Order: sequence, then C-alpha cells, then structure tokens
Amino acid sequence: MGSNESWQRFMELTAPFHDRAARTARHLCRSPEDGDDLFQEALVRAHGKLHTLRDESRFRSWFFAVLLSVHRGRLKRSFWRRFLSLEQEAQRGLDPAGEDGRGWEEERLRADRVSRALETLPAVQREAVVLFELEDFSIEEIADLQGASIPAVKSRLSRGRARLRSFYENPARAENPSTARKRRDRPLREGEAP
Amino acid sequence: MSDEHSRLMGTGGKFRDSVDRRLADDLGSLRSRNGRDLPSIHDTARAARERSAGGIPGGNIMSLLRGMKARPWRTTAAAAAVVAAAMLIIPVSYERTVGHEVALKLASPSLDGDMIRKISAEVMAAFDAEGIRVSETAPVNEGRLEIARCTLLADVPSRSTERVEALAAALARSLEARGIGADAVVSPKVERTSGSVYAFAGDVIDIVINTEGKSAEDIEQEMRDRLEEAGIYDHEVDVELDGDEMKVRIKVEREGEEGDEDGAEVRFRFEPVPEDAEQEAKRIEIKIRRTPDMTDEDVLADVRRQLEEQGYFGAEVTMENGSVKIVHPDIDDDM
Repeated sequence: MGSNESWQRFMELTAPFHDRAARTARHLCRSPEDGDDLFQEALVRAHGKLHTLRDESRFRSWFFAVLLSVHRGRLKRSFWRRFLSLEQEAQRGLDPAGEDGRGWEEERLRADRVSRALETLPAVQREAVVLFELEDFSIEEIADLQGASIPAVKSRLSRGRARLRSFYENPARAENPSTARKRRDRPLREGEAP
Repeated sequence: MSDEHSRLMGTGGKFRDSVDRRLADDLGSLRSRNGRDLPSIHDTARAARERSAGGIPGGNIMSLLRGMKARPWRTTAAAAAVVAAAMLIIPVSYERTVGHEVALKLASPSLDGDMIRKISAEVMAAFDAEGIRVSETAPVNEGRLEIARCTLLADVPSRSTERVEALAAALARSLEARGIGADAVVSPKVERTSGSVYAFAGDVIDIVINTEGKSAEDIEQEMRDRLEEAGIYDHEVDVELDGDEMKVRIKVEREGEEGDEDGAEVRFRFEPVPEDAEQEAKRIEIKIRRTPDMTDEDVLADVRRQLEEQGYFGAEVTMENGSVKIVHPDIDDDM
C-alpha cells in the first residue's frame, strides 16, 4: 500500500472518533494549540505503528492508547516546553471575544482555571479524569486504554478528583509542589485531608 | 457505579458542595472551549501527512523554525554543542598564577650581613623558595640610633596566595618577636597565556600514593600532604582499609584563583611500593643526644616523637638493656 493509500485508510479508521480524540488531546494539554500538536503527533505515531495492530475492530481503543502514550512522552519533555510559556500566554490572551464578550471571557477564565488544576495531576490521574469526566468513557474502557485494572482506575479518579478539589480550595499551595512536598513530609493535623 | 465514581458533569445538580459545583462548571467550560474550532478531518490528515513526510510548507527555513518550536530542547542542545565545539577549538586568553614574589622589608639596628644571610635561609626554607635577592636600602637615623634596612625578594613556587600570605605573616611576626622590624608583601606572579578551553581544562594533577604496608591514617595523611603540595587546601579525605580492600572518599574544593586552578582535575593513583623502594621507604633516622638530666622515659618520648615525624604512628618503643626497641609493623630493627 502506497503512502497516500495508507494515510487514506488510516484517516477512514480515525474518522468515527476524530473529534472526540482531538478534543481529548486538547483537554490533556494546557492550551488548544498544544492539544492540536499532541493530536497530530499521535496520528503520525499511530500511522507508523498501524502494522502492529492485528484486529482493526480495536482501532479506536488502540489509537486512544497511543494518544495517552504520546501525551506521557511529551510530559517528560515538559522542562524544555517551559521556554515557550510566553508565547502560550500571548496566545491565551487572543481568544475570540464572541458576540457576548463577557460570557466568552468568563468561559475562558474557567477553562483556564481547570486546565491549570488538571496540570497539577500526575499524567495517569489527569488522563483518567479527562476521559471519564469530559469524554464520557466508562471505567472499563479507561482501564483498557490505560492498561490498568478497574480498581486502579477508580483509585486514579478518586485521587485525581481529591487533588482537583484541593487546587480549588487553595490554588497557590496546589500549584507549588515544594509546599505540597513539605506538607506531605509532616504528620497530618487533626481533621486535615491527606 | 458508586457515588464516588459518578461523573461530576451531568449529575443533574447533585453536587457534594460548592467546590464540586465550581469544578463541574469549569470542566463544562473547558469542554466547551476545546470543542470549538476543532480542526476538520481533512486539515488533520493534511497536517499529519506533512508532518510525517517532513514536508512542512514554507521551505527549509520554515521547517527548521517549526522544528525549533516543536522541539525546543533540540535547539538548545544544538546551540550548546556548537558553543562547546567552538570553545574547544578557538583559543581563549586567560591569566594563570604561576607563583608568588614575597618582599620582606627588614629594619633593625643590628641588621648586618650575617643576620641577613640567616634570615634569607629561613625565608628559603619556609617558602621552599627558588631564589632570593637582597636589596639594601640606605639606613635611617632615629635619634642616635642608625637603623639598617633591606628588602629580601623571594621567588616562591606555591600558587596558593592564601598559603603564601599566611606563611609571610607568620614569618614577619616571628622576626618582630626577635626585635627585627619586618613587613611582608606578597604579589602573585601572573602569566597571560592562550589556548583552547580543552587545554585549559586539561590542567591535570596526577598524584601517586604508595599504599604498601601503610595504615589508613598514613594514606590519608599522605593524600592530604600531596593535595596541599598541589595547592589544594580545602579538602576532606577519608580512607578505610578492610582487608585487601581500600575505600577512599575525597572531597576537594579548589580555591578559585582566577585563571589558575578552576579547570584542573586531580587524579589519584594508588599502587604498591616496589621492593627496592620499600626498603628505601623504611629507612628511618633517629638521632638521640642524651644529656645527663634525661631519663629513659625522656629518651623513649623523643624516639616516639621522631618516629611520628617520619610517619610511624603507634609504634611500641621500649628500653631493653640500654637499647631502644621499636616495634612497628613497618620497622623490625632493634636500635
């Protein structure tokens, strides 16, 4: 099969869940632009590995598993990506105002807040929360995508939500890992959440 | 599905508290924002194919720029590699301290040729000086007293300014205590040189330590001495001997004399003493000049002191039939 044909076949397989996968990639990243970049990288990776997939009926879950794998790989490079933060900040300020500028601005602020909260989660918790809360995957499906047991996914969801709540209760502490580490190193106070 | 795992979104307003409500609202906003203006499947396919083929529109320069944006670490690494390669090749100019000149200004009514020769000898010994010059200055009169003056200029090989200054100050104090006015001025001798960073960094100090028959303390002491000979005074050395195994822990912080020792590397090599050299190493010399008022204990104490000066610690020294007997793992001769 030539390159054009292989890409055509690959995109046919992707079409049924294209929007869902593109959205998931955006949810996993801090900005939509980063999410689109992640999605493209996942497509290229999956296309290159398509020959390893024996059962095409599993293509959707296989592709999402590739997407999660690429996402974790990119997190390891996150140190270098910090140097792009100025550009991202600028892009964030260029969101369209829309007809109801106030409503759009509020949505942008909310989306940005929860994005920052999601960014504080470890990759596997972030993935579980995004897939479950935002893309309506079942726990069984997430377990399949993450290659984890159902109890493990439930635990990731539970801990992920607890961390999100903690972020909302005290964003400064949640965004500062050193503070969190100091807190973890000392005994819990009475009535304090772990 | 238990309540714990029910979705925050779409739960029909059954929120645990206001935090959950805010979180659910924000997740809704995120879903809404990220669902807007999604790339079409055609756009996605085109971009992915171009990315896969490396044929990014805009030619090679745009491709390079986009690659730099997508993989900033590669850009940083490439730039660092270019700079490092340039530093290895392009000669750079730097100053290095090659020694010191100590000017010791002396002033005393009794300063004559003999005294100058004696002080010169002390200076030579104290600094391990390579040479000494004497510059006499016209005497001055203080009342009826004529004060002779001169300056001794010593070339000192040590590269540590701190050490040379400390020695010079100690020597000046010692002379003052003997009634000789002394003022020491230390000036580093600097040479400007040029070479690649590779050559500069290649300032390697090789130290060979003979360990045969030596205790851990001996080896530690020798390492300290050799480090100090090399101008390294801020060090921690710890040696442990366990049977045939020797564990060495060294922490060295070099003094940051500009252009001098920053790039240097210290390498230790440990090796047994060759047989003939071992004999040489075991040759010790002890001189006892027994005066009538010295007891046997005084003699033995003097022997122990001299042994320790020569690196033989913990020797068992006794007097038997008027002879001194020394028992030490490295010494087996009766005296």
